[in-house]
Amino acid sequence: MATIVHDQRDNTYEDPTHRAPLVLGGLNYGGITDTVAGVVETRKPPFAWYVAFGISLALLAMLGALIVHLFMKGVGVWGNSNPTFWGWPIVNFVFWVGIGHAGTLISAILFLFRQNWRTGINRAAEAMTIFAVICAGMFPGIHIGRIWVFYWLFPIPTEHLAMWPQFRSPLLWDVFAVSTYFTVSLLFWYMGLLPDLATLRDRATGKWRKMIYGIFSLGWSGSARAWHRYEIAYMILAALSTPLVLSVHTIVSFDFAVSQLPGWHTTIFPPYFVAGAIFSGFAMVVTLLVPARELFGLKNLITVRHLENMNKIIMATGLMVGTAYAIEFFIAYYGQVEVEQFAFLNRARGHFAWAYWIMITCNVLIPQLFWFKFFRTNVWLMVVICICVNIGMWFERFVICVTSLNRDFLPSSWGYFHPTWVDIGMLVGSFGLFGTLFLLFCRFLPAVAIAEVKLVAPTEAH
Amino acid sequence: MSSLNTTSAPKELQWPAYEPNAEIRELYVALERDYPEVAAELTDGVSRRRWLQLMGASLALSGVAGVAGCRQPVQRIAPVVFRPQDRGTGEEVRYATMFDFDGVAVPLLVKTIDGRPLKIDGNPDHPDSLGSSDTFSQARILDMYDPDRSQTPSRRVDGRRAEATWADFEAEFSRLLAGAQGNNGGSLAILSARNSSPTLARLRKQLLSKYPDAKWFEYSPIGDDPIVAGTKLAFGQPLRPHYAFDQCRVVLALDADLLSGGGVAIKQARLLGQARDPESEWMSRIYCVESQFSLTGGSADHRLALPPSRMASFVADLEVAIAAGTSPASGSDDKSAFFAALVQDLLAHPGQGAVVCGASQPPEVQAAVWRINQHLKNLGATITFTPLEDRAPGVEQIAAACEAASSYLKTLIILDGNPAFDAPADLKFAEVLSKVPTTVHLAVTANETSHLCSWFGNVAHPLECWGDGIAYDGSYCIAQPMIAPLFGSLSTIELLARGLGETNRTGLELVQQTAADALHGDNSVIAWQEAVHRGFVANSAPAPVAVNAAAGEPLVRGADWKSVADSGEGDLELLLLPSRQLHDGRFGNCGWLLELPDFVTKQTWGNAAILSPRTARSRGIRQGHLVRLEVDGRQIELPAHLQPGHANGTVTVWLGFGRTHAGRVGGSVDQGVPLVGANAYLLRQRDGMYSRGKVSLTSTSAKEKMAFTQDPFELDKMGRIGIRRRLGDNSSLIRSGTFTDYRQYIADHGNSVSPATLDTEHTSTGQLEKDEQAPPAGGTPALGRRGNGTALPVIQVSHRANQEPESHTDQPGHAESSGHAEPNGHDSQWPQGHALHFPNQSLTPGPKYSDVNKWGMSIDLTKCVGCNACVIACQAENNIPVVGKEEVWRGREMHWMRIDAYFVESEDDPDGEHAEFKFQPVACMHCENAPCETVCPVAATVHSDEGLNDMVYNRCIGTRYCGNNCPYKVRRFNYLNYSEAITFLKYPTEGVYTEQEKKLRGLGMNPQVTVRSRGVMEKCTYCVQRIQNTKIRARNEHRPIGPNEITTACQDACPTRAIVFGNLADTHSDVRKNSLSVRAYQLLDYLNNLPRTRFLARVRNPHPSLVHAAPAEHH
Repeated sequence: MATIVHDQRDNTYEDPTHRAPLVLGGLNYGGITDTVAGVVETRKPPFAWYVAFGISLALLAMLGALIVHLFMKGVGVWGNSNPTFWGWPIVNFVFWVGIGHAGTLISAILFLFRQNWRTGINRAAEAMTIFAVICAGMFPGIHIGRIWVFYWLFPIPTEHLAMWPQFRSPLLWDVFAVSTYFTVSLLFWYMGLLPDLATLRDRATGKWRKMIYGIFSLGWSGSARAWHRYEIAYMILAALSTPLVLSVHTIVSFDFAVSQLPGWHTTIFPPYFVAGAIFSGFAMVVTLLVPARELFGLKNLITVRHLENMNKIIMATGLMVGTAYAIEFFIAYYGQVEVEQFAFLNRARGHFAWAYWIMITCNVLIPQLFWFKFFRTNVWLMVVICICVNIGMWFERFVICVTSLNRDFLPSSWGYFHPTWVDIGMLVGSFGLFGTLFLLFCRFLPAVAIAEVKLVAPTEAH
Repeated sequence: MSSLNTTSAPKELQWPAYEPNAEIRELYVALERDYPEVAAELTDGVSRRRWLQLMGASLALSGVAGVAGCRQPVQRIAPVVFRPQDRGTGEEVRYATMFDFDGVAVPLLVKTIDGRPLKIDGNPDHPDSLGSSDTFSQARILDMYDPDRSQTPSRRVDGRRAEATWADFEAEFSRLLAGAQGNNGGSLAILSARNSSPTLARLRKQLLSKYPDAKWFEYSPIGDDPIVAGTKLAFGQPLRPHYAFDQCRVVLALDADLLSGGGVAIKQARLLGQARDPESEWMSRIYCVESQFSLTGGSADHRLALPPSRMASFVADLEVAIAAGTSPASGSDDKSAFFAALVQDLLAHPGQGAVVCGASQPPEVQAAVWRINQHLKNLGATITFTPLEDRAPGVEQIAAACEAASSYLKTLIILDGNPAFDAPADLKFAEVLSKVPTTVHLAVTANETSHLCSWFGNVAHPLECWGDGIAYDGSYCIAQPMIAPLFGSLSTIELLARGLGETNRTGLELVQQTAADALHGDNSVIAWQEAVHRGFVANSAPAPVAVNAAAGEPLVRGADWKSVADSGEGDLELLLLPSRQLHDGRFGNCGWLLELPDFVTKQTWGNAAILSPRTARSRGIRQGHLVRLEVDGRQIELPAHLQPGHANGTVTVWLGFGRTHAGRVGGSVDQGVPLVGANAYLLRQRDGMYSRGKVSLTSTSAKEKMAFTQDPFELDKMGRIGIRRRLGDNSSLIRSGTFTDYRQYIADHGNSVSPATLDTEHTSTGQLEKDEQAPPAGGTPALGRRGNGTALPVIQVSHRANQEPESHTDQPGHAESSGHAEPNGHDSQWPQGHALHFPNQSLTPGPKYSDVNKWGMSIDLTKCVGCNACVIACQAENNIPVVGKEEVWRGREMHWMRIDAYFVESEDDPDGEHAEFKFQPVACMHCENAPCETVCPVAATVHSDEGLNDMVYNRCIGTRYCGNNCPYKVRRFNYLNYSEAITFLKYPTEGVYTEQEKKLRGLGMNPQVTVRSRGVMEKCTYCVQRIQNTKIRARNEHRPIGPNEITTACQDACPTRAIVFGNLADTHSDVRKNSLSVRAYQLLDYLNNLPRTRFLARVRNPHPSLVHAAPAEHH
C-alpha cells in the first residue's frame, strides 16, 4: 500500500491551470499495483463480500431451479399470453443487453476519443458488460417454446432439415448481433487483462495461483515487443468494438421496429435504444462501482471525478431518451395513424399508465438532479439515482414490449398482462447470476486496469 | 376383432353392417403377441393402429366379461382390419344418424374414419338442418370419448358407489321389472327425460299395458312446454309452430332466441339468413324485445331491453294497437318511437311477418301473441302448425313424480336426464329420491342423479346404438351406430325391451319394427336401407293443421313497460335461462363447451350474475365482484358481469353450471375438482321456471376471477375510447351500413367490382401507377378533432362517409352528395373504409401465386349470427385442445376461430344503454403479404403458391414473433402441453388422466390433423387437410376440383351460410363472387397484408323513422 498520503484534494474541482488528477492518494506505480492486486491477493475478503456472494449464489440457484422448471413444463410458466406473446423474458433480455453497453463504450469509444479517465473504470465496466450480456443472452435462449431445438436459430447445416434459418427475421439478426458483440467484448476484455494477469502471476505466492494466472496470462513477458503488439491489437479491437456498440442495440431495436405493431413500428428506435442502453449501462456501472470502491479500497483509483463524469453522461443520455419519448408522441400525432396514436395515448393513460409514469419519473425527471453538482458528487445519492434509472429503464422496456402488445389492432384480442412468480423469480435470479459473476470477478481478477491506470498516474508522485 | 363391411350393401347405402368374424380377432391378437415392437412403437393415442389395438383389447375384454354371451347373435361394428375391396384405410365415410335433444330429433351426418366417429355435421338431406349444425351436436363427439364416461354400471353400497358388472346390472333391472308384476306395477314409476323416440314410446305403451298401475313421467328442465301451453290456450290444442322466416319481412322476437338453443334453431337461423340477403329486393327487419342479450338481439335491427315481467304489458299494448290497425303517434322517447315503428311495420306487412314469443313467457302472453299473429294474418302464411300429443308440462309431471315417490313408490327408474340437479329446487328432488327403496338411473355418464340412485347403468352413447326420433318438422329419423359400444353396454331401448321380456330383441330390430310404421308398412329391405342411409323417412312429416285463435281474456298487464325503473334499491327481477354453452347442464363435463366463449359476454368456464351497467352502478356493484342471490333461503354466489343492452332492474343467470358430479373437467366434489360456476337451479321454483319477480341481491366486496376471451365492456377510459374510435360504420374492422343505402349504391354502381381487384399484381405495383394519375376522390387528408375532445389528428374521409348517417332520410339528395370514384380499387367499396387515405402501395412486385388454385374465404357479416357453431366445428376438426379456466384467464385459449364482439357506445352513454352490438368471426386471414412469415427466424410459417399461409409445426421452435406481428392476433401458442402430446421434456406425473384414459381421448382426434405439442405455434389452416384430400380425390378421378367442392369445417357448420371457402381463381366459385362484391373488404386493409379472407360488410335494415346517428361518432 502506498504510504505517502498527500495531494488529497477534491479532483472534481475544475482548475484551468491543472489537469485534474485521476489517481489520488499520491499513489506511485507500486502503490497502484499494490492497491489493485491487494484486493485479489488478500486471504480474507471483506465480510460484506461474503454476504453479497451468498445472496447472489442463492439467487443463482433459484434461477437454475426455475430454468429446470421452465424446461420441464413449458414457457407457460411465465405470464405470456395471447396478445402479449413476449413478456418479461424479452423485457429482461433488452434490459440486460442495454446494461451491457456501457463497458464497451467506455473501453472502446472513450479510448478512441482519448478520454483518460476511462482507465479507472474500464475494466470493471467491461466485466459488467460481459456478465450482463450473459444474462441477456440467456433469456431469448430459454424463451423459445421448444428449447431442445434452439440450435435451429443458428445457420448450422443440419441434415434432417436441410435448410437455413430465415434471414429476413430480425430475431436472426439479433442472434448474430448479440453473439458477435459478446465475442468481441470478451476478447477485448481478456486482451486488456493480459498484462495485469501477468502481474498477478508474478506476484503470486501459491502454486495454484501461479499456475492458473500463468496459464491465463498466455506467457505475457512485458517486453517492448509484447507491448507494441498489444497496443496495436488493442486499437484494432477498440475500432472493431465501436460500431458494435451502436449495432447491437440497433439490431435489438429492430426486433421491435421491423414489426408492424403500433408502438413498435417506429423509425426512432435504433438511436433511442442506443441512447437508452448507454444510459442504463452507465447507471449500472455507477451502481456497482460505488460499493466496490468502498469495499475494496479503490477510492484513489476510482475517484469521485470518474463518477461525476459518468453522471454527466447519464444525464445527457437521459435527456436523449426523454426527447425520444416526446418525439414518439409527436410522430404519432403527426403521422395520423389512428392505431399508433392510440398506442401512445394508451401508454400514458391506459391500463398500464402506472408503468409509463414510473418510466418517465425514473428516466426523465430524477436524472435531472444531476444538473446539481451536489448530486453528481455525493456517492450514495448518485447510487440511489442510478438505481432509479435502472428501474426506469427496465420499465421502459416493459412499456415498449408489453403495453404495445396487449393493445394492438383488434380490440377483441386486447388483454391485461399478469406476470407469474416465475417471471419475478427469473428477473431476480438473473441479478443473482450477474452478482455472482461480478463478485467472483472482483475477488479473482484485477478490478482496475493496473497497467493502464499507470499511464494516467501523475509521473511525479513524490 | 371382426371385420366390416358393406360388401353386400349397395355402394351408396353404406352403414356399418354386422359380420361376426372371430378368426380375424384371433389373428389380430396373434399379431400383437408376435410383433410386440409394433405395438410398443405406436404409443401415440392418435394413430389408427394404436386404436385398433385398444379396440382389440376392449372387445376381448367384453368377451371375457361375458357380455358377448348375453347377446345372441354377437353383433359387432368394428374397424376395418382387412381392407374391403372398395375402401381404403384412412378414408372418410359418412353416415346419417340423429340425436334426441329435449324431445326433438336433430338429424346429423357423422364422419367416421376407420370406424371411428370423428366429426358431426348436420344431415344435408334433412330440411331441418341442410347440413348445418350447432355447438351441441358438434360437442357430442367429445362426450363420446370423454375419459369420465362411465365405463361400468355401479350400485350404491353403504352410501358409497361400487362398480358393478353389466350382467349384474341387467339382471337386477330385469328382476326389478319382474318384481313389479305383483301389484300391476303400482309401486313402479319411470321418470324419463323428454325424448321423441317412437320406439321408446312404443315400449312405454308396452310397459304400461303390462303394468297398468305403473306411472311414466317425463321431465326436461328446458323445453317448449310454455309455448305448447300457449297454443293450447289460444287454439285449444297443443301445437308446434313452424315459422317461415324466409318469407317474413318483419320479425318480432319477444324474449325469444330464434337462433340458439338447439332443436329448430339451426333451421330458423338459416331461414332468417335467407331473408337477410342484401342482394335481394327486400330484406327482413328484425325487432327484438328481450331482457338478456340473445343471438337474435345481436342480429336485430332494433332491440328494446325490457325486464321479463314487463313483457305482458308490452304485448297487451301491441295487441291493442294491432287490433286498432293504426300506428300510435311516435313519441319523443326511444321506447315510443320503437313501438310506433314496430306497429307500423307489422301492420304494413300482413301475412308477411311473424311475432315470436319465447318459452320464458307465461302461456297467457303466448296466447296474446298468437292472437296478434292471427290479426296480422300471419297464421297459415308465415306461421304453420303441426299437431302434438297432449301431455302435461314437464314441471307438473316431475311434481307428480315427487309426490308419488314420497308416498308409495318402491321402484323409480330414471331414464337419462339429471333431475337431482335440474329439478325445480322447491321440489327437493334429492330428498324425495332417498325415500324410494330402489332407484335406477340410466345414462351415458353418471351424474348427480346417478350418485343418489341405488343403481346406475351406463347405457350406450347415441353414437353407439340404434335409435329413432321425431325431428322438429315431424319427420321420422333413424339413428344408427357408428361404433360398437366402447364399454359393452346396451342402449336404453334395448334394456327396456329386455326388461319387458323381449330378451333377444336387438336395438336394430326394435327400431326396424317402429320404422315399419313410418314407412307405411313397407317392409322391404330397400325401403329400410334407404331410410337408414338418408337418416330419416322422406315425407314423413305431418301436414300442417289450420288453426283459429279464440278471443282470449285480455292480458293482465302488470307494471307498464314504458316506465322501467332505471336504477334504485330493492329487489331485482331474476331471469334464469339455459346456458348457451352447457344448455341445461348436460354438457357440464364437455371441455369444448365449457371453454366456448358465450356469444355476448365472452365468458368461459362459469356463469355470472348479468346486470346492466346502470343497475350495477346504482347498487355499487363492479365487474367481477361476487354477489349473493337468494330465493326462499337458497342462495348462490356469483361474480357480477356488467353487460350493456341488458334490461335494467333485472339479473340474468345461466342455468347448467355448478355441476357437483360432472367429472374431472366440469367439476366434481368427489374428486376434488373445482366446480365451474354456480348452480342456478337452486333459484328455480315450480312457479317460476324461467323468471321470478323478486330476488334479493347482496353484493360482497370479494372478487372472483372470471375467464373472458375478450375484455368485458367495463374497461378503463382509454380502452373504451379506443374501441369507440375503431368501430364506426366505416371502420377497418367491421363495416356496416343500411339496406336502403346499399340498394341505392348498387343501383348507381352495380354490386360487384372489377375482377382485377382479386389480382395481387394489380393491388401492388399496378395500383401504384394508376393511383398516381388519379388520386381517390374525397380522400383529402385533413386534421380534425374527434372523440372526447382530445385533439387528435384524424383523416377526414370521403364525403360520402360523412353523409352516411343522414343518407337514409334524404334519399333524393343521396346521389349527388356522394363522392364516389369509379367502381374500382378502394373507392368501389361499400361502405367506404376511412382508414385508407392513400392507396396501398408496395415497393416489390408482390408475391407470385398459382393461377389455378387461389384459396380464399368470404365471411358475410350480414348473415353471421354469432352462434359459435364454427368455433366448435373448427375445434373438432382440427384437434384443438382445451386449456382450462386459468389459462383462458391468462389469454391463452387456443380457438383458431373466434367471434369478436363489441359494444360500441357513444361518449355521452357511459352505461352503454344505447350501445350498438357488433360482431365478427375471425380466423387466420391467410394474408398474401403475411407479416408473420417475414419475422420467423426458422421459416416455420411459409406461404404456399396457392395462397395458404402454412404453419410447419415440426419446424417451429416457438419464438412467438409471428404472433406479435400478426395484426389479427389469430395465432395460438401451446404455452404448455395442452394436448398432452409426447414431448422432449415433461414432468413425469403431469396431468389428471391415466395413459389408458388419454388413449380413449385420443380416439376422438382427427387423424388427418397433427396434434401439436407444447412450444409450437398454430392457427387456422383453411382446413388444409380437406383441400389436400379433395385434390387427391380429384386427381384420382381425373377431373378438376369443383368450384365449391372444398368446404372448411366452419363453413359446413354455419347455419346461415355466412362463411364461404373456395377458389378465387375459379370464375364459378361462390367465394369469388362474394369477394368481388362491393361489400367485400379486407380486415385492416390499410396494412396492405392482402388477406385472402374477405368480409362482406354488415347490412342493417333499420326502420326509416328510427334511423338516428349511430353510437359511434361521425365527424
